[in-house]
Amino acid sequence: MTKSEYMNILKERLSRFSQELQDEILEDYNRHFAEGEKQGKSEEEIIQELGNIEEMIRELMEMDADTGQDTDISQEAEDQPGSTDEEQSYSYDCGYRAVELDGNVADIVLEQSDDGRIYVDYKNNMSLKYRMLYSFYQREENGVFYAGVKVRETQKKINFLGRTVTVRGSIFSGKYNSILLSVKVPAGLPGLSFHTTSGDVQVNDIKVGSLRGKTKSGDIEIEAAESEKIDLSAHSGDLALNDAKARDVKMITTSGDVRISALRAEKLYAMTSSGDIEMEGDTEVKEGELITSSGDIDAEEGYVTDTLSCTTTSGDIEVKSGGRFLQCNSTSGDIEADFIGPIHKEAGTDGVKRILQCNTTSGDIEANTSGTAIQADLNTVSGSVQLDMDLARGMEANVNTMSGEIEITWQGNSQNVGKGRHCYGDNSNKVNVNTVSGDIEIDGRGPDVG
Amino acid sequence: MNTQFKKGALELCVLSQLVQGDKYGYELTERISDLMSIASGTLYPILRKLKEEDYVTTYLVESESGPARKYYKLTDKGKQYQAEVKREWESFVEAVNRLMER
Repeated sequence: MTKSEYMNILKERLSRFSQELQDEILEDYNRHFAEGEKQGKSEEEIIQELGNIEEMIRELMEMDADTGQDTDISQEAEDQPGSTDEEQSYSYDCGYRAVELDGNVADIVLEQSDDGRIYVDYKNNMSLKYRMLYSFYQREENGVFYAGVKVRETQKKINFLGRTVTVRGSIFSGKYNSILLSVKVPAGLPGLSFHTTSGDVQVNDIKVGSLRGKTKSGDIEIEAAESEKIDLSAHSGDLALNDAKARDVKMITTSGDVRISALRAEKLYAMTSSGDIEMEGDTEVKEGELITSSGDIDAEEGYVTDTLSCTTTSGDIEVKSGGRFLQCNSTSGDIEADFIGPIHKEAGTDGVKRILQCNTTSGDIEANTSGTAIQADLNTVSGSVQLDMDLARGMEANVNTMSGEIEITWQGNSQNVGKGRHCYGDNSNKVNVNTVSGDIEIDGRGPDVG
Repeated sequence: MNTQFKKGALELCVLSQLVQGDKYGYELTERISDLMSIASGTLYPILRKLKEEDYVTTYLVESESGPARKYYKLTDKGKQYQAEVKREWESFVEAVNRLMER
């Protein structure tokens, strides 16, 4: 920071005081600079020496209060939520039912403490000029522990029709992400929530009752977490969840991507407007709902044990399920949907009907099923449909296309057929395929044919 | 450190430096920050307050280069006040010392 930047901040912070006081302090500081320069000190050194402007302002305010001058100290006190010091570390006994963090522009790193206490480290790496705009705070209320970063408000006293009026407003906003809030919470904490505006959040290895996170433009990344509920939302940030165990997972972002891997959950709800949704290896979810508007859905490596529904407008869908119900809807995208293996034991026994529904307008559909008692409804307008059925004992197919060709293979014998109803074996799989201009290809392989 | 306490101590430091002779602002802050880690800027409000309460007066002395130096001079009232605060401080320190030794 240069002398003129420092003096500008000083001027701004002094503006609430009387003109006479402002002039005097500014003059003192200018003299100080001149003397320091005479001694061969650099501007930066002199600034360091003069120190934190806030501290000096506080001094002035207290003196004003002592001598009964015009500044309202009680209001000022509210505006002093903490100190602007560069680094602060705290630790607390934890008897709290929840911890709530508001990082604001700061990045947050959340970890587990191993001695049952809460640890909070605040580190502000901003230049002095910006550092003073933010301060750390912590408080407790009704058994909830709050900590975070607060934007200081400037106060200006103006003369309005002979009265002194206080004007409040934040002087700066924007992204200067160099504050780091590192927090450790004990295992088994009932509730943990965090919020940032532009700061990123990284959660490592925690075990809590419920985990809730919200950010505007920051990203949230969770690595190893166990919680009844995980609820994450972002505006333009990405959401990533890896190695987690939860009953209920909700991930919502507007323009960011959602990435899920190694998740064990009963319920998963993932939504993004323009981002992609990806479910990667070693994920096992009982009920899933994946929604995106213009992004793709790739859940090929995840495993769903009961129901999965995927919706996108212009993106492609690629999914696999071991469950009972699989539904894919897209408008202009392609769909690749597979029922793999025998039905998962939690979703029912082998005789339970498995339902596959795929709808797209201009995309192709490619579906694979395994076993019998499957009800497949595959609809597209201008796309083609290809359905491979493994281990099917029989099939009743209703196929319709206006201008395309239809080819059905049953146990190795292919033939071109017309539209309408075609039955094979014990009719145990029900297949309805409709397209207007696309081709239809169905391949049924019985249990005896490899 | 308790801010009230620190402020009182700083005030005494400033007054005591001035007992030894008049000094200009920069000189004062240098002397104090040599021995204590403080933001020098915080001394200016203290000096201002001492002046408002008539413990010090100021006068300007032209310097060969740069702006004139503002010297602080202890008034009679300031001298009395310094002696008083010094006594208070000494008895306080003595009490603390005794309690620490027990």
